Amino acid sequence: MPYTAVATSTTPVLIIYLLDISGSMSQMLGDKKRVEIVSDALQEIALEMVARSTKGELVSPRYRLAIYAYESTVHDILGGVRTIDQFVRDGVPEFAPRGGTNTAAAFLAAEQLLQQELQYMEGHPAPLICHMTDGEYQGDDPTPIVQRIMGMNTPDGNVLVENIFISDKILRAPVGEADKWPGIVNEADLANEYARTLLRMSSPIPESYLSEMQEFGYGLQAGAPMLFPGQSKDLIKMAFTMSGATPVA
Amino acid sequence: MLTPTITIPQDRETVASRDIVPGPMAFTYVYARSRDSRGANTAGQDFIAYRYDAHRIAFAVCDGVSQSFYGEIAARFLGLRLVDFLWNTTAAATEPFLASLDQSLREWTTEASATVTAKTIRAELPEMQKVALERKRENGSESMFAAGLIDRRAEQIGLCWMGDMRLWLWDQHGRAVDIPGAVWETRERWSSRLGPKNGSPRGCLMPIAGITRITAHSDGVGRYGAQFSELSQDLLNSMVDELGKAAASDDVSVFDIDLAIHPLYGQFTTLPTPVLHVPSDAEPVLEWKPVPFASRYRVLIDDGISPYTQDVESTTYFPPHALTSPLTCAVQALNDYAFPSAWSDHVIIEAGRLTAPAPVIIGDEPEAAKTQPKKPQRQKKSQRSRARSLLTVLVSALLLVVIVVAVWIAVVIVGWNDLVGLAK
Repeated sequence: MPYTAVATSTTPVLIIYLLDISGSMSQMLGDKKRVEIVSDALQEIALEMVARSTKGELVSPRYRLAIYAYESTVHDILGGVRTIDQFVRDGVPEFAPRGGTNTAAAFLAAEQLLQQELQYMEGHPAPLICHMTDGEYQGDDPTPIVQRIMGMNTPDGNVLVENIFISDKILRAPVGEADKWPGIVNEADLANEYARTLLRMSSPIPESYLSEMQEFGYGLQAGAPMLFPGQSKDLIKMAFTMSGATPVA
Repeated sequence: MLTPTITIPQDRETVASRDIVPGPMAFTYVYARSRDSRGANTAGQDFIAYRYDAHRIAFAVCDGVSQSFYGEIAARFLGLRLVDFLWNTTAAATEPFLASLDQSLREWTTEASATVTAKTIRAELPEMQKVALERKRENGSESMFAAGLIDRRAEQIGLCWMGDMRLWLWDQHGRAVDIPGAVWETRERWSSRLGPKNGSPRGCLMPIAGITRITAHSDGVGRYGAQFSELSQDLLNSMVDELGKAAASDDVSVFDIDLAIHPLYGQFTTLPTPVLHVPSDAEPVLEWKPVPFASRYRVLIDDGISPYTQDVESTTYFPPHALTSPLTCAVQALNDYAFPSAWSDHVIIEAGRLTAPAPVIIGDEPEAAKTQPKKPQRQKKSQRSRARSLLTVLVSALLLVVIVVAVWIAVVIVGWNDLVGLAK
């Protein structure tokens, strides 16, 4: 059964964050800048990963993280892959929005990293890419790269791709309470073509992730894609929670 | 009657061991921390405790929840309370037994919450980890459990559990006997904050007839649980080795009671009682003479809050406590093929001072220890140290005087201006 491998200190899960830090991320969403909300959500999920990796005082390296922030160019924020016990010492980095939205370059960096890493993933949970953006890509279309990535496989299943679209234009109807939202259950719910592009770039939520999300109190339905509308802080928080919902030992 | 609760240490591995006790009964147990905990030398989150006499045995195997706040706290706290509860239960039917247990599980939250609140998080931990731990603290410490009481005189077994640990009953042919209401739910556990969580305690009272063995174990044993119909120390040790290599290596604890043990030759003998003494009043080391045929000794340390036992092979024991409260200590001789000795007379260690053995039952309030005179050895050391300091000061002063005189002579002979010129 796919996506049942659990993250342990010897079989950690690799999570790659692709974070759009283009100039538009300095726009306000409610009372905070978008980039600040993303930082807060990243901080929250990092804390959750630490909690899920901590036994007593021991932080087991159950998660391996890479963070690529991108605008016109891609920045490797952690200088490679860091385990959660290393990450915990440095804390969540700060981001300064600027430049354009070269989404394809970010996914290309992720693909290159996966090409190096996949050979060592026997027994590990399938890796996950969590892509967060607030606007359409500029430059090359990332779709072919993402489809190549989604075709990469490990014994636990194909690489998972999650997309968080910080915009109020992705859905036809606004989402009420985040914890009761079933996910995108119908393509017709999507409001524009880029949202449909992101849908094609998003993996279905595996059963094991759904169970974990239910443990966190979310009511996502089976079959929903890993595509989240970042219309509010709560939805963004839920979306980042999904990125850390790999089953752990 | 001396019936202390025996506890298996959480901070180290206990290889498969066997106690044969009057009844006769045999207890076989093993404890191993997960590979991560061993690597970092941190406490395991399983816990085993038991108490017995010639007719009864109360036991608890607990599995602390690693996602909770220091799961080892809940496991230990709960294990000790469950053994006490079972030892003192008078329930004669399942319903009142479970109702009484449910009430106790709720009542224990007050004391357990205080323990959780009092737990200090080390200041040197990374800030993010401290925040994560404080969040866990809000939800408390949690543990699953599988526990029971076997009363041979009443010919009854009482079992209780919450979570996905397992209890097995075996008949004389090694076949598993059904346990009424046996459901093992991962979500169910005891919480220091809430008491029973995600459900109520499960359990039953049932006749002992036809049952020859009872096994309790944590989920860390994985698929091996079903193979415990025939259990040996060798099997347990090789199982622990094998499980320690697994990617998802977890804490492993197994406790097994054999009610049908028979001596291979003649009758079981009882080991002689060790005589506990303290060789020096300068340090709290316990010592006893070797007991013939004893392969190990069990030391009981009771600080009045969280008593524990530890098995050692040597005939000395250094209590590891920083002595903040009096420790009541006793020792017992053991081997795998004879009844354990009676417990020795106890000694009380009180903040560096010791009282002589006295025939007081463990668990009673210790007598107030008499104040001992100051230790002469320490005084001698202190005097020596002061003399050394004085000598250092005198030698330094002498050197200073020699230097000043040498400079003065140089000034007189060469002249100040010439001396300055030379220096330039």
